Parts: sequence; C-alpha cells; structure tokens
Amino acid sequence: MQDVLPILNPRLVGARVPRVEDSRLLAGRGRYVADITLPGMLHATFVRSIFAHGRIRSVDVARAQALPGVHLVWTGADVAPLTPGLASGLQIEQMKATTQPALAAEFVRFVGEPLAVVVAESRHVAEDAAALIDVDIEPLPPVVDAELAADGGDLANEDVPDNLVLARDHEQGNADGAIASAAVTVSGRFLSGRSAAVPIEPRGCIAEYDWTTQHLTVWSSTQLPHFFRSMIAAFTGFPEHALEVIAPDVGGGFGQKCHLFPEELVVPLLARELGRPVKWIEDRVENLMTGTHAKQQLNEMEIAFDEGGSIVGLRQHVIGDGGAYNCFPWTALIEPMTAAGTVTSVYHIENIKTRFEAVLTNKVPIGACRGIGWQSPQIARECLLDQAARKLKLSPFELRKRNVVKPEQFPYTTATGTRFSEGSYLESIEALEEAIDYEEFRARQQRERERGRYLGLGISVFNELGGQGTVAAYQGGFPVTTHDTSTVRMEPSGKVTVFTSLTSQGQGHQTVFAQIAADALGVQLEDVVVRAGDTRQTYGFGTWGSRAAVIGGGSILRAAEPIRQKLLQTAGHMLEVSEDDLVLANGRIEVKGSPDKGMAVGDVAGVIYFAAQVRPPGMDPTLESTAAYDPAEAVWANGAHAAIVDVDVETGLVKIERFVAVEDCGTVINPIIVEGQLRGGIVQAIGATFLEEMIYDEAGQLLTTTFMDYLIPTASEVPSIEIIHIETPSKATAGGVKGMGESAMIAAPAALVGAVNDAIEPLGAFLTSVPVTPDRILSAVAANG
Amino acid sequence: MLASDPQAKALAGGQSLLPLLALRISQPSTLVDLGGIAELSGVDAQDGLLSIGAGTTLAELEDSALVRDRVPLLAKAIREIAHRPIRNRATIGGSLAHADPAAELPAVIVALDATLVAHGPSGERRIDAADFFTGAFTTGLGDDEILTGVEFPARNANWSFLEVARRSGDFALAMVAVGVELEGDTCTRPTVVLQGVASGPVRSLAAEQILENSVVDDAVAAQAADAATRDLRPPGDIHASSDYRKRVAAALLRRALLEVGRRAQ
Amino acid sequence: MTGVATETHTVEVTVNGRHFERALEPRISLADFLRDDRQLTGTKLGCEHGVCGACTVLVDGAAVRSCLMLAVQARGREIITIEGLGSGSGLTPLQEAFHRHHALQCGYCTAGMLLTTTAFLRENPSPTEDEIRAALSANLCRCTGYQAIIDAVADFASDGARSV
Repeated sequence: MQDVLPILNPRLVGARVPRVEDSRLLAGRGRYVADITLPGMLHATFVRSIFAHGRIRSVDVARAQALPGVHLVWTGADVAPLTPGLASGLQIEQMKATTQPALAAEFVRFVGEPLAVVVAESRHVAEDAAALIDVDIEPLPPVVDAELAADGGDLANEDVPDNLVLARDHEQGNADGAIASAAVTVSGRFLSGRSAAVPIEPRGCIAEYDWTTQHLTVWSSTQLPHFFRSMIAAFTGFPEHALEVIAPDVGGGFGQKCHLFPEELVVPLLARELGRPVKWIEDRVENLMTGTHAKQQLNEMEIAFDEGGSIVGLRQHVIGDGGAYNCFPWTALIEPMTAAGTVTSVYHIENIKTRFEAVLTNKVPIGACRGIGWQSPQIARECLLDQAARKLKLSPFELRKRNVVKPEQFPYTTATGTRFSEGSYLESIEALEEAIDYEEFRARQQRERERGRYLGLGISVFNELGGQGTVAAYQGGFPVTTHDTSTVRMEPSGKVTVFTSLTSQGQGHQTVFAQIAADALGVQLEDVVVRAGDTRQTYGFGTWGSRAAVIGGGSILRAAEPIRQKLLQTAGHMLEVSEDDLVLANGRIEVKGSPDKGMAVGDVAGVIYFAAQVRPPGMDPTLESTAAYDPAEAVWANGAHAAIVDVDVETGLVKIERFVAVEDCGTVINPIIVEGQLRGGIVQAIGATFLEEMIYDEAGQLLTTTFMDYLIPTASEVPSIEIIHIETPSKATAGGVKGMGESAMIAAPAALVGAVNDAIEPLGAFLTSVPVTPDRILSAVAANG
Repeated sequence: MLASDPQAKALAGGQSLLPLLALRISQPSTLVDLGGIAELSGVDAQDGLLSIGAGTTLAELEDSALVRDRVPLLAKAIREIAHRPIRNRATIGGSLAHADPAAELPAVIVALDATLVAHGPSGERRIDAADFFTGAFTTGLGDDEILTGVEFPARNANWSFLEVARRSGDFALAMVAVGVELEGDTCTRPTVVLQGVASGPVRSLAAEQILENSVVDDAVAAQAADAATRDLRPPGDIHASSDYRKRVAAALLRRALLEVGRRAQ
Repeated sequence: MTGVATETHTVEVTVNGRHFERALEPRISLADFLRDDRQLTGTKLGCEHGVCGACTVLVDGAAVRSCLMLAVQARGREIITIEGLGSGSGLTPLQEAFHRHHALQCGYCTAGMLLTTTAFLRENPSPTEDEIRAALSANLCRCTGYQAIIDAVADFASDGARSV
C-alpha cells in the first residue's frame, strides 16, 4: 500500500549493536506495572468461579463488605449496566460472536472466570475479603472434550449452538482422488495439548480517574496499548480522547498480553467509582488459570506421494479447542483457522482438502501465543514427511528438497491462497543438511542402536508469516485492517526522537528502531531516543505477529523521509549544490567526493528551526513527521531446524544432543536481537514439546495451577544450539526486513518430535501427542516392545 | 505453644510451608518460629554417630566436610534437592517433618537407618527412620512435638542414588537408594529403598534377600528389581502414571545395583 | 497469607547497608516488605510460591527467595537487593557482562539472575559451564533461552582477577 523504501547507507543496520535499554533494567530501575504506586491507590482482587460451568444463584458479599479495610465489592450485577463485556467476533459469514461479561452475572463458563471483585487497602485484605464471599452456583454439565463438543450435545456456552464458532471447508484440486490413487500415503492423528505463554511478569493494570478533567489513565502490562485504549472506550464508554493507556516496562508477552481481559474493563470502572487509583496485579495461579491458553488442536492429516516422492495430495481436519469464549480480539479462530490456512507451508501441493472447526469448551479461552496455529500442523506434517521418507527410502532432506517451492516458481500462490514472493527454501534445507552431515549421523545412529542406545534426527522446514499488516491478515483468514505509526522528530540540535506505537516486551525495539532511524537520518546511534508505550502519540495495533521490525522499521523510514529531504534541501541551498550531490551520513551532510565541503546535521537542523533567512524560502520550519506503514504484501521469512536427540527408552527422558537452526529473515537489522529471539524461542519450544501442558480433569478443573505443575524449561534443559543465517531480503518491505520472532515456536517442536520418533522408530513406536512426556514415550515403547 | 493451639504450625526454613500459606491452602492461626533456636543447628560426630541438628540448613549440610566424609549418600542426595537458594533456607528437620512422598531425604534416612530425635511436652523421644513416615505428608511426630535432630550410624558401604525427574531439581518421579558392602565380588548387607512409588519410602526386603551373599550381575540385578517393584501400586498423577513409576523404579534399581554391586572397594 | 492481622512484630533489619526498624505483620513476606515498605521495586514477583526465582535477594550473603521468607524472619539480618549491587552510578562488571552478551530481554528475571549469580560466584569463583548452568537452573527466564546468561557469567568468571 505504500512505496517500498530502502535503507540508504546502512551502517548501524546489520550491525551487532548492544542494546541501549539494558542499563536501567540491569540496575533494577525497570518500572513494570506492579512497581507503580500512586497516592491513595487501592488494590483489587477478583473472586473466581470454582465450577467449570454453572448458573450463578447468588453472590453474598455482606461479610466481605464488612471487613475493615474493604472499600467496595462488586458482582456481575453491579458491572453489567456499566459495560456489555467483551464482544468478540469477526466479519466472517456464519461465525458466532460471543460476549464475555466483565464479571459473570448469570453463567460461569470456566474455572477461574471472574464473578466478583473486592477493592481494599491492600492486596492482603482484599484476598481476606474475597474468601468471605459466599457464591452459590448451580453446576451445569461441563464440556471438556472439544472433539465430543464438536458433535454437539451439552453446550459449553449457551450463546453458541452446537459449540461451534465456525467450521469451514476448503478444497483445491482433487485431493480425494489424488490420495486414493497415490503410491504412498501416510496419515496420523496429532494432538497438541493446551499450553500457555507464561511470561515471567504476570498480568496487571492500574487505573486512575480524575473527575476534574474526566480523564482516565490506565497502565497495563499490554502489547497493544492503542488498541486497548480504543476497546476500553468502546466497551466502557470512557471517551477515547480523554483516555490514555500506558504500557510501562512489560516483562514478556508472547501473545498472552495482546488480548483485552475482562479484569481490564472492571479496573477503570472501579477507579471512576471510587475516585481513587485502583491496582490489580494477578498472581501466578491466576495467570495460569485465567490468562489465555494456547495451542490445543487436533490435526488429522493425510499426505500422499507418487513413487518419485512428490506430494500429490494433502487432507487435513483440524479441531481447535477454543475455551468458553472467543478471546478478544483474535477469537477462537486463532488456532484452527491459521492451522488450515497455511498447512502447505513451503511445499508445492496442488490438491488439498481441509476442514477446520473452532469449538467452544468450558475452559479458559484460547488466545494468541507465539507461533499460534502454525505449530501444531507443522508437527503433524513434518512427522508424516519423515514417515513417508522411510517408506520411500529417501532421506528426510531429499524428500523435502523434492517438494519445496523452487526459486523459479516465485511468486507462488499456495493451494490455501497464501502468496510468497521470495524465499530460500531449498537453500535452507541444503545448509541444514550440510550442518548435520546426514550420512555420518545415520552411521552413528546404527552403531549406537546396536549398543542399545537410541539416537534420533528430526527436521522441520518452515516459513513464517511475519511483518503482519492488512494483506497478511486477510491472507491468514482475518479480515482486519492493521498498521502501526511512527513519528520522527529531529530536534534543533540534530538529535532525534522517535515515537512509535510498537511497544517492546523484551525484543529490543529501543535499539533496533534507533538503528533504523539513525541510518535514515545519517546520525549516530546515541543521537536517537525511541519512545513507545504512550497512547498520546502514534496510533497502532501492537507488537504481535512478528511485525515490529517490519512495521516499525517501515513506518520510521517513511516518517524519516520528509525530514531527510528537508535536511538535504537546506544543505543544498546553503552549500549551493544540487541535493543529488549530497551524502547524509555519520552526522554530516557532505558533497560527494568533497568531504571538506559539508555541514554537521545539527547545524542544518538548527538553521531550519532558528534561521528563517538562511533556510530555503517557503520551507515549513518543522522537522517532525508522522507516517504509518502497512506492507503491500504478506511477508514470509523461512528456515529449517534440525534436532538430534538421545532417548533413554527405560526412563523416557530425552536429552537433546544438538539443535541447528537455519534462519532467513531477510535483511537483519541487529543479529544480536535475531539470535536472542531464536534462542529464546527454541527453549520455549523445548518446553512446548516436552514439558508444558495445561491439564483439565473431566469436571473442567484445572490441575496445573502452579509452577510445580506447569513446567517451563530451566537452564538445565538447554542444548547446544547452532544458528546459521541466510539473508533473502523481502521485495515488499522497507529495507527488505522480514519478521521472525515466532520462527522457533512454529518450527522447532516439529524437529524435536520428529527426532524422538526417529529414535524410537525401530521399537515400532510413533508419537503423535504433544507434549512428549517421559510417560508417553515409555508407554509407546512398552506397547510395541 | 504448639501443644496449646491446634491451629499453630512450626516454622523452620519455610520452604515447604510458605508456599502453602501464599496459596492459602494452609491457614494456621499462629506460626512458631524455630529459626532463632541456635541449639537446633549443627553437625557433630561422636563415637561413630553423626548427629545433625534439625534446624541445620541443607546448604550447611551440602557444604559440610563432615557429612561428605561420614555420610556421602546424604551429601549426594542433598545436591539433588531443588536449588541452592531453597537449600539455603530449608532445614533437614523441616524437610523430614514435611514428609513429601517424592522427596529425597525420607528415602535416604531410611536407607541409612537413621534415628530421629523429637521433643515434646512429655520429653525426648527417639524414632527409627523406618517407623517415622506413616503416609503421604504424614509422620509419627505428634502435633505438640518438634524434631530436634537426626542421628546417622557409621557405615562403610558403596552407595548409589538415582532419581528421575522432569527437570533437574524437581521432585522425583521415581528414586532409588542402594547400598551394599562388597567382600570380593559378593554383596553383603544390601539396603534397597525406593521413593516416589508409594506414600512414603519403601524398603524392599525381597530385593535385599536376593542380593544378600550374591554376586551382582545383569540377571541378579533384574531379579532384584523385579522383586522390589512387582507388587507396587504407585500413586499416579499428572506428572507420571502409576505404571510409569513402577517401570522406572525397576529400571533405576537395576542400574543402581550394577553401579555399586561391582564397584571395587 | 491469610487471617485478619491484629499484631505486629518489631523487626530490625539492614537493607543495602541501611538499618531499619519497622513494625510488621507476621504474614508480610520479605519480598513484599522490600517492594512495598522500602519501595525497592527492583526485586520482582513472578510466582509467589518459590519456583521462579525472580524475587531472589541475598540474606547474610546467601541467595534466598524473598517470597519464601517472612519479613519477620529477616530480623537482625543483612539484605542485599539489586539496588544494592552497584555503586549507584555505573554498571558493575557482572552487569556489563550481561549487557555484552545480551543476557536480558524483557528484564523481569534479571535482578533474580544477578543475585543468584552473585551468591554463586562468591561460593564458586571459577566454575565450569556445567556448574554455572546448574546454578542458574534456580531461576526461570522465558525470553533469552538462558545460553546468553550462562555465557555472560562464564565471561565474567573467566577473568580470575574480578570478584563479584
């Protein structure tokens, strides 16, 4: 939608620049929402349903209200007139929208759903009071199994008939025919368990309302402050222009913090009611129990091949367990629709037939989490490719090389309607194969098997829809508009301030955006400061979908351009040369070939602001420019991962001997940041593959509510990881940048599961359930041994 | 204080109790802080007996040369418990009184034939480790008693301590502590204790009978492992099923026996 | 913690070299005391049940999870928090090593990592990488994947002349 801008004279872009944001965090001066204290502040705690499904008969708050130190207690009845709750749906035919009340008033639909709130002098007293609230709920049958729920029966959410938010079939070509007549077919039923983002900082928000100005300020640990602001206004009636949302330092998001939560509707209303700031900070139990969950999918997949190993058809049926409500704003489609929408990934597959069903159950809503719906079909497909390779007696590398989209096929439109302009699919497989030394591995694997030791190799070739703007959203099935905005301002001294709507939860934006702005305006890194998180500037949709580098970079380049032009114009005017003869770099504007003929950038800026007679006549004396960015195409990074594992078949414990990640994310702004995202993502993927599962019992009670039960990786679980970079710049984005933050969570679990399956294959075992726990490995081996 | 108020709880290191308070699972009326009682802390060796005060932290024990030399199995097991910051506060008395069925110390003190010393209003009581653990999170300690010490008799044996956990430092899914004395190739005085397979530590006399006066080879190890686990019905939970714990306990026992049964003196 | 608090205990404690005497409810954790009463918010809460390590401080030199200690148990002790690690006008060499190695992303676990590392290196000034890895397993991080933190600590420790 906008012209593609190059990064001229890249000097900082591409360099390993240590982060500028580190000092305050290292010194303990980060200010996260829990660290903020306001005069007169009170503390809120929520009372939550202990039933997975029920009808609220009564909520008796008398004892709680009477407790000294308690200022207010609200139930669903108090809040209902003030807000309709979170209405979540998309403009998609037949899709069922849902409304999650801010506080449940009639029904409770998942364990942990908030139904009352206490505000008190301290969190301790608020929790004391919460324990004194008597809630009488008539239990209703809990719907816990999405596969059963998809067939109808008991309703999880009374507003959604048949528990179905949306079902959609898609076909291209003749998959049934191709599969029926194929030489080789492989199939499997792959289950991804429920997991969660688990940022180390839990959620929280503070609201302050000033009756004298009618201004509401909200601090929230959120990834999307501007969107949050618009939605608070929409759902509570606080007018948008008198409402400010601030994202302070945020301790990780991973997608969980790109939702609006019912608690975040209640807290501002409490602040207005009480005339005092109100703070809500959840504890970890609440975070695990009521923060959005992720990933729960069933993928039934079938892939067929001709004798040469070319894929002739693919069938997929996805059931996504959405929880009790459409999360806001992504809805229950976030997993199953994206799973079906990109199932062919990097492979050339002409005949496909997919069906997805987004189903509701009496559990916490499923929301966005790093890798979203792409992780699960990746596991299914790559494990099936390995099985096919064994049947076809081809190496897993060779089979994939035969089937990926080749360079001469770009631009390529897939059978699901997604479109790629460029990519290094073949090259990344070859780089991976070389790094692994496949023949040597197979020889070693065979030797070790004879000694009773089970090594395995798994590989996972992928692409990643990043830099998500409107085109990408639509291609992914989400008919939504999305962009972000930056303002670039050069001060009279030549220093630069960048305001951007893309907040950071650890991704190093302050550094990365400064690198881009500095190169665009020819100044030093230390001459640029980046500010984000404040809704007084630059509207945007937030940091998710691996988009910040692309959209932030793109909007900064667009905003910087008019400033760049003015600087060159002014310098040209003063030096009496054509602008085309000037170079802007290193803090100076100089005549090409005559470096002594030039001026400091700061001097030129000073002239524009302060010297009306010297600057070009008619020039508007501003050096501040605002621009949005929304890429004209969907942007696809790609790569390939491999894992070598050692499975102890007597204990089910898996040691990861080696992990190799080939990553092509186009132009790399800062390799340090990219590697950090990869390493962090790979370890998070190890958690998703081996350790993490949110387990509900048949009554819909969550059994994994503490860090003793929900296990995330520690430093001891980290293998040796090698990273190999390839750079295929995007043809569509500013600077050729692509997003990559989700790469590891999309691709790595498939490599790890594939590796375990490769290890235990001689024992006749094949795992299709994630997480791959020691118990599951032992059961699979014992069943077949 | 503990005697007069049934809702009071003793507080030592707090590493097991405080999470329960934070989660509001346990709601004592009063906490009796044992932290200030200096006499409860310390490691002492006399006449072949190693005496450890109940209030001694696990970190102190981890760092103690006396423990390392006299009771190496204890030193080894302690290093597997959680992480150092926990061990800096957790006490041996507190951990034993907590009696978690997946914890390392109960298995180890049973394997070492330790004696627990308790004090209450009616005076001092000595309890054999074998009799101390009466169920999951349950011991023979009265509500009005506290542990004051643990005594370890001297024993020169080869020990193997193996556990399987989801992550390092986590509670074990299954654990074995095996000790033997070797006369040449022959095993004597075998001690076999399993943990994580029942509501508390399990000493397998059946396995010990097979091992007594045997030369440990693959067959004997397998036989002993089978005898020790055949009749077990371990509790299953979200981390591991009953069947898993049983199989893995057997595998660990086999490995432990092969490790110590053949070690040269 | 539960119960309607009716009594307080007087606690004398030293925090980052400064001496305080406060009357505190028994149920207030050391973490809450440091954050709320002393406004030392550098110590973070990630779980409040003693697993994540974000709340790690030094108590008489030993690394302790401040959410698993009651403030009243700190009577007579010396507490060091993240704010007390440096001089207040520059990064310490250990912090510099973290910066060089990109050993922090969101920063939320960082204080805990630094405190655990500080205690660890004082007890073991020349650790192997495996020992560093085992020591850092006490603290959860979701962003970095840990290797950068291990590398930072190894880098710092490799210069034997430096003490933490």
